[in-house]
Amino acid sequence: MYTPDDSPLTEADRELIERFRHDYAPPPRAPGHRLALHDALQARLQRRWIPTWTPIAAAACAAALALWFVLPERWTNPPPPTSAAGDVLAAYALESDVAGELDDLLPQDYARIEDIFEL
Amino acid sequence: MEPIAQVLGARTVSLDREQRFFAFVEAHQERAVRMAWRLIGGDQDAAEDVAQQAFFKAYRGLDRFREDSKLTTWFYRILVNEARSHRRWRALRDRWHTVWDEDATPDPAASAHPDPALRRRLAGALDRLARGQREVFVLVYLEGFTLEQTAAQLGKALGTVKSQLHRALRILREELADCYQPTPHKAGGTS
Repeated sequence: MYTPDDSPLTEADRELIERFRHDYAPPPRAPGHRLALHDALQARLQRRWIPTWTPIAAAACAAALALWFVLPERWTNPPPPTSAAGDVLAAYALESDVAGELDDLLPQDYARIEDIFEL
Repeated sequence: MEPIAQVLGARTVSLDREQRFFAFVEAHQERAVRMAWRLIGGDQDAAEDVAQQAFFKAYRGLDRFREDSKLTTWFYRILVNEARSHRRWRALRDRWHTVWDEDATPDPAASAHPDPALRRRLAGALDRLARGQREVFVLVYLEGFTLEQTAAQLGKALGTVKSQLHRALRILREELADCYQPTPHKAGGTS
């Protein structure tokens, strides 16, 4: 694993770093900046604390409430299944179709099923 | 002016801690702004905002601050996170609102610099580094934190910091080779 001792800085590396330090630095701050930051910070801390997510949560609640009133009742309260739906299901599989199908299985059949599905 | 601790009541820290905190702000704001400036890529106003936000969050979290770690380490960790957050939002904004780029004001320091092209090259090279590499390079080589401090501030293992630092320097060395005269490694040099 790399350690600084394994890879010491060359003169060129030092020069590069020095160049960054010198040429990639912010301009000197105006004297007013220090005071401005201090004052702004103090003003923010004295303000009554409101979490940043409060406005978002309030807007989301308002939107949800508006949707509740705007959407038709059938959207918010789905109707119970009708007898027509039951008829459709019955057309695909009658209860009598599957009745007794599992009655004839023997214990070895269950064992085979377990083997097949690795139960 | 009414002390903050009295205004905010029981939720806040003691007056003593408040005074200590503002002394801390005084002592560290230059470095905090400079570090934010380098981490987010040379935007003075944004750097001021990031530093202020970091101080604000640090003050808010003073109650959760464990005295067993150093206040500076804890604060600079917050600052690094704020800078990351700023970069993420800026990347998102730039991706979806490219028109904002046209409105963006150029870095006034770049034009005031004796060699604006060099400054842009340095900024570009640093910006193209992976996030972790850029952060360790700025913290260790430009801000002068030790490897251990950097590891604590970034929440990384010491070995990770070392390897990222090594890679960052190698990439910058290659990319900016024409900016200086590379010399071969000298045995026995110091880090």
